[in-house]
Amino acid sequence: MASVSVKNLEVSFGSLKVLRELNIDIRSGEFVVLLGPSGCGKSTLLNSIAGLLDASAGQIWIGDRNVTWEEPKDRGIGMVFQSYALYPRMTVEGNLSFGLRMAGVPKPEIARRINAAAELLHIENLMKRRPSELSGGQRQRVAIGRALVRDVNVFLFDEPLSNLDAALRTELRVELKRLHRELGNSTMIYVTHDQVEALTLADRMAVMHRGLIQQFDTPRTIYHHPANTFVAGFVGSPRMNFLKGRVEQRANSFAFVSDQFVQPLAQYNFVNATGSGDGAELGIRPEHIRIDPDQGTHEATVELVEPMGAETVVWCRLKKQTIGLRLEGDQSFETQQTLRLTFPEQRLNMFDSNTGDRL
Amino acid sequence: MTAIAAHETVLEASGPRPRQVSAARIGVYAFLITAALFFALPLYVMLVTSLKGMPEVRLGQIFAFPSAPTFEPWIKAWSTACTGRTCEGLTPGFLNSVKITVPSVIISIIAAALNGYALSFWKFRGANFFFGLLIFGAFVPYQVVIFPLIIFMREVGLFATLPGIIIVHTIFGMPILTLLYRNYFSALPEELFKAARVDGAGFWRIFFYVIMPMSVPITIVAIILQVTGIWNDFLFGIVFAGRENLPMTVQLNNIVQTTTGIREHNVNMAATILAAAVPLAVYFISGRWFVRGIAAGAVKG
Amino acid sequence: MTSSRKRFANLNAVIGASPMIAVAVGLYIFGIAYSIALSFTNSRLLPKFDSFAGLANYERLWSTPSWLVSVHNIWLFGLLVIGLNMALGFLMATFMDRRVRQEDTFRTIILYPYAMSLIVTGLVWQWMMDPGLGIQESLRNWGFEGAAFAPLASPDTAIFGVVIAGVWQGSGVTMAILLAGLRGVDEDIWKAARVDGIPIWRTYVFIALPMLRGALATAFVLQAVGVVRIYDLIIAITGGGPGIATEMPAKFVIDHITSRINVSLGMAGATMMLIPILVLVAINWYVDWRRKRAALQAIG
Repeated sequence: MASVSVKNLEVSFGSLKVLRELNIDIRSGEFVVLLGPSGCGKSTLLNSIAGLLDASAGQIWIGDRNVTWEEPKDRGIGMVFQSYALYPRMTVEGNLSFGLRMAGVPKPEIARRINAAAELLHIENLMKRRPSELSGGQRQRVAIGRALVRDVNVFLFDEPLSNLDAALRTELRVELKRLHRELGNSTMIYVTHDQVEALTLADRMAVMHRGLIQQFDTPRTIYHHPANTFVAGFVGSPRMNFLKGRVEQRANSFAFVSDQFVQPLAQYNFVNATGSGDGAELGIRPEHIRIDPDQGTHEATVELVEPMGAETVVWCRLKKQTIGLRLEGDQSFETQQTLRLTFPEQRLNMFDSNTGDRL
Repeated sequence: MTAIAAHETVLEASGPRPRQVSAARIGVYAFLITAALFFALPLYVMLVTSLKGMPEVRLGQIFAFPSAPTFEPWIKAWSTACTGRTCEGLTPGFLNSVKITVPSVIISIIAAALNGYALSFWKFRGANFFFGLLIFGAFVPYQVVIFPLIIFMREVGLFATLPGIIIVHTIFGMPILTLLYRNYFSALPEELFKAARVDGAGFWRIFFYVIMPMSVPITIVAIILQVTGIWNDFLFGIVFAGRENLPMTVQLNNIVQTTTGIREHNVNMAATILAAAVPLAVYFISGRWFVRGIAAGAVKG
Repeated sequence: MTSSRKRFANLNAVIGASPMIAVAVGLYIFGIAYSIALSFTNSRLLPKFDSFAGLANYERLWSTPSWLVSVHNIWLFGLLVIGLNMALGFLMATFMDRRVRQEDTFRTIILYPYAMSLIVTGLVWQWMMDPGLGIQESLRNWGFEGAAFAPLASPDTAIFGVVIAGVWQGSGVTMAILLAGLRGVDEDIWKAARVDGIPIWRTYVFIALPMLRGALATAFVLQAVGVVRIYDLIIAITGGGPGIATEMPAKFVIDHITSRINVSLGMAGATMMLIPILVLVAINWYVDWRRKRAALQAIG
C-alpha cells in the first residue's frame, strides 16, 4: 500500500499562502507528474509530501498512515533532487549507505541493498568514486540509487533531469520509465516544468498554476481536452491557437462567431452550458488545422515558415490574429501566399472568455 | 622610433601587432614599485637594525647594511631582554601566546561553525534577531563592553586566568566567524540538507557527517583569521590575561618601552621581528587564502 | 507526540546556537546597558549603582582636556587615514588590475603590514621616526642638512606621524578589497568600453568606480570601525604623547578603567564612542530599508 493523499493542504511562507485547499489522490503504483511554470507551487507540494516543509493546515496520508507530523525519514519515502545533492566528501558507496547507517541497518543488509540498487542502475563500477569524479548522468543515477536503497514504496523526484543536457535527459527519462515498471508497485511523484517529460512519463499528470491544481488527468486527456485556457496554453508546443469571439445559437445548433468568420459547432461536445451571445475563445492546436484549397473556409496569409526537418511550422495571419500551423514533413510555402484552412470540429476546444473554463 | 613607425605603416598589418611600451605602462610600474618600496622599507629597516651592533646603530645610518652582521640582538631579545620586572626575553611571552592562541582558535571556530549551521539550516524562532544583534556587536567598540566583561569574569572567578582570556577571545571572535560560516553555509545547496534529513540524520549527525566535511575551505580561512588576530591582540591580553599569562605583544611593548638604561634599538627590532614572525609566516604561507579571509570577513575590526 | 519531536529538533538548534545567543544578549544588550547605566553613577574602582550622578560625568568629560584632545584627534586621524587609505587603495587596486607582471609579489608586499600586530607597526615607525637616529638623521648624514622628518617628537606634528603608520598598515586591505571588487566587474563591460573607445582611466573613474559601491562601503566601514577602536597603535608609537598630543578616546576609556580608577567617567567616554557606530548602523538600516522598499515598488 503506497497511495498518497493530500487533503485540504495549506502551506504558507510568512503571510504568503503558496498552497491553499489543495487536494490530490495518488493511487498506489502510479507515476504522477506535477507540471507547471516556476512558482506554481509544485515543488512546495512535493516538499510537503516529503515532510521537508510544514503544513499550516490540512493532512498528508501515505498508505493508510497520517504522516502530516512525521519526520521525513519516517514517511517511507525516497527523494531525488535537481542538484543531485550527493554528499561531496563521501564515495558513491558512502552516499548510498548513509541513510541506512543512520537507521542502524545491519551491515550485510546494507551491502545487499546497495548491490541490488547498483546493479539496477548500472553503477557497480563507480562505487569507490567521489561525486566530483562522476559525470552529470552518473551523479543522477547515484542520487536515484540513494532513494532506491531505502526500500520504500514512494519516490519523490524534484526536477531530477533539469541539470542534464538534452541527450542524457532523453536517455534517463526512458530509464526512469523502465525502472518504474521493474519495481512493480512503486508510487512515483515527479515534479518538472518540462512538458515532454510530463507527457511521456506520467500515468496521470497534475497541471499546477498559482498554487492550484488546474487539471489532474491522463496526459492524453490533458492534451486533447484541457480543462481551461491555462492548461491548454501551457501544454503543447507550439502553443494552442486562441481566437476570440462569441457563441451564438443558429437554428438548432451552436456556432462560434468572430468578427471575421463563423465556425459551426454542431458536433462539439459542450461540457458546460452556455448561452447565446456569451464571449468565448476558440482553441485549436497547430497540428490539427488542415489546409484545404477547395473547401477551406478560413483564408490566411503566410507570414513566416520555420522548417524543422521532420515537421514545418507555418505562421499565418488570419484577419487580425496570428495563428500557427504544424505540418508533417518538409513543406515549402511562399510568404504572402494565401492558404484556405479548415478547423476540424472534433479537434476544437471552446473556453469561456471570462473564466477561461472549458465550455 | 618614428622611423620604425613610418616603416611599419608601409608594411601591411599582418600577424601579431607590434608591442609598444607606452608611457602609461611605465607610469603604472613606477607607481607600483614606489608603493612597494614604501611598504617594504620598514621590514628592511627592522632587519638591518636587528643585525647591527649598538655602536653601528648609533651612527645614524638607518638604511645602511650592517657592516658586521651579528645575531647577538636576536639572542638577547629571545632570552635575556628585560621587561622591567624580569629579564627572560620574549620566551615566556611566546609560550603564553601559544597557550592562548591554540585553544582560543579551536574553541572559537567550533562555536562559530555551530552557530552558522544552526542559523543557516534550522531557522529557529528569533534566530535572525540574535544574529542581527551579534553582527551589530562586530561594530561596537570594545571599550563599550569591556568593563561589564571584566566584572563578569571577576564574578565567575576567571579574571586574569588562562581560561578567562580564551573565553574573551572566543566571545570577540564570534560575530565575524559566525558571519563567515553562516554565509558559507547559506551558499551550500539546501537540497543537500534535505537529502540528509530524508536519510534520517538529525541536527548533530548532519553537522558532523555532512556539513563539516564540506567546510574545509572556510575553516582554513577561519584559522588564518583567528591565528593572526589572536596572536596580534594586545588589548585583551593586557586586560584579561593576568600577569602570568601576558602574551607576546604585551611583553614586546614592555621590552621596547622600558626606559631604564639606554635603549637598545637593535634588540628592540629583533624582538619586534620575533613577535611578528608567527603571523608573518602564516601570511606568507597562506598567500591567497589570507586575501580570501579579508574579503570574507570584511567587517572585522 | 509528534509536535514534541518537532520541538526537540528545534531545541537542538537552539543548543547549537546557544554561544551566540549568550554573547548577543549578555554582551551586546546587557553589557552595553550596564556600561551606559554606570556612566550615570559615581563609580570609582567598582560599580556603585546607588550613587546616581545624573549628567555630572558627561559635564566633567567635556571639560577634561585629555578627552577634548582625544575627540579632536580621532576626527583628524580618522579623516586623514580613511581618506588616504581609500585614495591610495583605489589607485593601487586599479594599477594592479592592469595585468601587471608579478602581481602576486606586489600584493604580498603591499598587504603584509596588515598581517602584523599594530604594536609591531607602532614600534617600527617609532624607530624610523626617531629624532636622533632615524630617517631624519640618515638624510642629514647623506648631506641633506635641513632634512626634518621626526613628527613624533613635537606635539603639533605627532598625530601626522601616527597617520603615516596607519596608512602603511591599512591601505593594503583597501587595495585588496577594491581589487577583488574590480575583478568582479563583468568582463564584457571592459570590452564594451574598449569598443566604444572610452579611455581606460575614464572607464575606471566613471564606470568601474560606481560599480564598486559595495566594495567601497565595505572598505570604509572596516576603516571606520578600526579608527574608532584605535588603541594598540597609540600605545606602541607614542603612548599618547608627547604630553597628551596623541590621546585617543579608546585609550582614554581604558586608562580610566585601569590606572585612573574612575570607571563612571570612562563609561561616559565609552557611551560617546558608541554614538558614531550607532549612526553608521542607522545609515545601514536606512539604506537597506530603502532598497527593500524600492524592490517592493518594482514588483507591485
